[in-house]
Amino acid sequence: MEIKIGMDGDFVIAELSGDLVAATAEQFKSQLWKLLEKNFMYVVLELSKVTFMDSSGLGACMAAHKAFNEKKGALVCTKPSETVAKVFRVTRADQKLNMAGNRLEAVMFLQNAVLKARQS
Amino acid sequence: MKLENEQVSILVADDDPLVRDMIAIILQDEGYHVDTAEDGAEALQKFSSGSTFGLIVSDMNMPGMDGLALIRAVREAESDLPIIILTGNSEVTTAIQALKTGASDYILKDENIQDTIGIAVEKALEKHFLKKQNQLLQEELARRNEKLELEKALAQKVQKNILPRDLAFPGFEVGSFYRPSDKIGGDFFDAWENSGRVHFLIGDVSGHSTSSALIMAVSKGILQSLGHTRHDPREIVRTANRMICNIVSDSGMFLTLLYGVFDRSNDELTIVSAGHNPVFLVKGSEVTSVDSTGSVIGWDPEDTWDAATVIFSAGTSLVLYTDGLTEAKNKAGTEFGEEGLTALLTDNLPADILIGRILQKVETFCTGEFSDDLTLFVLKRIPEDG
Repeated sequence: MEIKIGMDGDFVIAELSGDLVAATAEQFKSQLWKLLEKNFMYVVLELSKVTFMDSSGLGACMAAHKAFNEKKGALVCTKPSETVAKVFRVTRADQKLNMAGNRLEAVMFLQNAVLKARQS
Repeated sequence: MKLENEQVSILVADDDPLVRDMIAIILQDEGYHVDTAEDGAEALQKFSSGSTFGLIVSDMNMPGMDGLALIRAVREAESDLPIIILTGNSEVTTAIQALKTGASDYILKDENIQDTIGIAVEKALEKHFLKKQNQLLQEELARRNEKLELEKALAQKVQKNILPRDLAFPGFEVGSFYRPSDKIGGDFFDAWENSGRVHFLIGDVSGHSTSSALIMAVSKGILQSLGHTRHDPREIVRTANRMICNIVSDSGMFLTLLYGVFDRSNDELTIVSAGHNPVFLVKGSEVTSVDSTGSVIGWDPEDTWDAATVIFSAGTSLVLYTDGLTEAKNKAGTEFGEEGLTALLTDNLPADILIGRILQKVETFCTGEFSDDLTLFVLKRIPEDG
């Protein structure tokens, strides 16, 4: 598994490729936790190049989602590959995670999240 | 841990008293304890007498027992003591032979010996020290691994006892197969009868680590306890979820679960599937699936679930499994898949025969290499008098 980190304006774009499974889930979590530690609170997680996701991988996505919420940030998943979308659908993770159809929607979602955070 | 020169004794063997004394003085100046021998035989005698040398510096050519013979004798005594060979310029070939015989290093007896001997000794001692440290760590690792494997074997026994054996209910044929990917796992299943209703469940905790096994044990206990006092699977799953959310906390861990209740009075089967893979009802050649009716367990204590109700008539088999079956991959990386499973469900076979058939196919498909826990649980309704 590989995680490419980039920026789109003020937001971090983390693009995953390869298998998100038990053997790679900890690496994935540690990368996202590092972002949180460095106060990058708004992250787009692009999943179009994820070739396989098992239960540990899904658990890691959910743990990351909760960690960002906990810190009053937001993690938004976009463009899940077919295999990931199926896992999300069966487990209803797509109703728990923040999902966006594409990068633009994801960025708009995060802009709203920032506005809400400033208002509260 | 650091190696201190004062703690190391060095034995210097050379038949030339001038060279012997010079080397001894150089090494003493470096802080080592030094003992000397006039030839190989005396060096071997001192080595064998129980003195605890940390290193030997030996001349190659000595009367009687030479440097090579000394190396062989020391190695035959199963000692890996570092030995540095001193050699004249013309003896490089022999020096290489000494290295092949088991010497740690060789240095030339030339005008630089005052500097080279100290460096060679330090390097040889450090290398030996690191080798010893590595050996100790390897041994410690092996001991820990062995302990871990023993613990796992014990946990495996305990987990085996948590899962049911010889399930039998009037009017049902029951078959099951359970195999964790590594001694312990996160899959579980069970069934019991309570006031004219047969309750059954199959679950799969995320991951297949020790924490999965712990959550499996606790979850099964919670569900079993709830299932002995309640009959609505939606309520059972909702209550269990609240309790399990407390346990998994924010770890992201979760479990998929299928919980069903069969009511004997009207043949109705009510199923709640918490993010579990589709399960199949098979009657003759007709296969229908029951899909997930809600989220997985462990993410949100406020979650609720819908239920699916179907008629579970005599002759129908209910095939429950965990995704270790359908996600088993062949060498090309293709999954066995739900299609692979349903293709086998067309015949109306006894529960245990059906399980055997599915296992045989999937094992052939993935050449016996499973990376996930695998559970198959089949309940087949048979006429009460049959």
